[in-house]
Amino acid sequence: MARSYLTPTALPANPASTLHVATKQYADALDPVNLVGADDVFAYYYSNAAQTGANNTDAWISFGGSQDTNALITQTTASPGHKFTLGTTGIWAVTVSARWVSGGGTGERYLGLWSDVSGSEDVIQAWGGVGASGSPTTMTVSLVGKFTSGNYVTGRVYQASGGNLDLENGWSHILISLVRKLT
Amino acid sequence: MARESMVPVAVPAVPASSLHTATKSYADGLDPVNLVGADAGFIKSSYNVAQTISTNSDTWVTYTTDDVTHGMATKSALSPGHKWTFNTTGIYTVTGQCRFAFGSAGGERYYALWSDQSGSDAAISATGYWSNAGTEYTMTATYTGKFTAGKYVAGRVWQSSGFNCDLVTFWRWFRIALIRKYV
Repeated sequence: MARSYLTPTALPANPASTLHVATKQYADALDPVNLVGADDVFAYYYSNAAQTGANNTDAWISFGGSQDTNALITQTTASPGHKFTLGTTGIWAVTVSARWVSGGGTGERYLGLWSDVSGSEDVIQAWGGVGASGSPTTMTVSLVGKFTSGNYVTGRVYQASGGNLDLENGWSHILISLVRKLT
Repeated sequence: MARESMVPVAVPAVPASSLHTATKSYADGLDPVNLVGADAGFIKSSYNVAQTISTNSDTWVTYTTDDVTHGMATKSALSPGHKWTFNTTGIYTVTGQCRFAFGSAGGERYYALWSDQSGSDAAISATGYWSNAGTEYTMTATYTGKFTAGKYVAGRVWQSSGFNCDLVTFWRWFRIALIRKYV
């Protein structure tokens, strides 16, 4: 099969100055690299009293004290305990800790980070195992993920020691940081 | 089969230096996509020497070997142990780990990330539970969230076996990664 001659083709001039130029503006002054001004969102709440947990009963953790608060993180009362509503859609980092005191019998102890991020309140991260009467159980769950404005997060505990058991004062806390807005 | 001749085609020169030009400049060398230069913030320390932990005594963990350093946080010595004081406010992920040796008796073991991030010293992430005498226990604590310049983070342990108990010579490291800066 014969091949045809290739004819020289004149390519148009390359308007290089218009190629791959970033033109996006950030109306709300968001910086693509740094968190500035209103994006510095952080809250720290902690327990200021021991909290008694009944046997075989889920309970929201009470956070009666705070060191840092922010208008985009709203504390509301559960019964007992508290929830925290997030006021902007974004990537959030949430860390919750609690510590069951020693005592009671062997049995499950757990701590969960709960949220309505999936439509209804559900556990989105948890830590648990068999406790021992002779030792406290210290637990932390830490999660980074997307939450939509209006979603809430909360810490929830459970124990099956056979009787009441306290969360030790000073160990329950929740730290919430905005990592990145999604706008 | 014979092949025909091909005529060379002249391709216009491409002004390569003007292609892929980002129009926004970052005076401090920040890149909008990648963490570069001074923002490639990562620290890793470790220590392959056993550390003896007295019973019923909170103890800072030693991470003597500096595998990776960075100016975002300054390491200093405690007695014993180490802490890192932040020089840059931002979102970080901090992960610490250690492993308790076989204890002479059962008792509590815990490992915590300790910080004054919210005004007073507290465990911001911790894990701990009952340990049997004949079992080694490995514990990791992690936290993602805000640290303010001037605040510190450190690893801290506790054990209540009634005897000294060592942190073993491996699996002991501490990592700090900068996720995002506040400016």
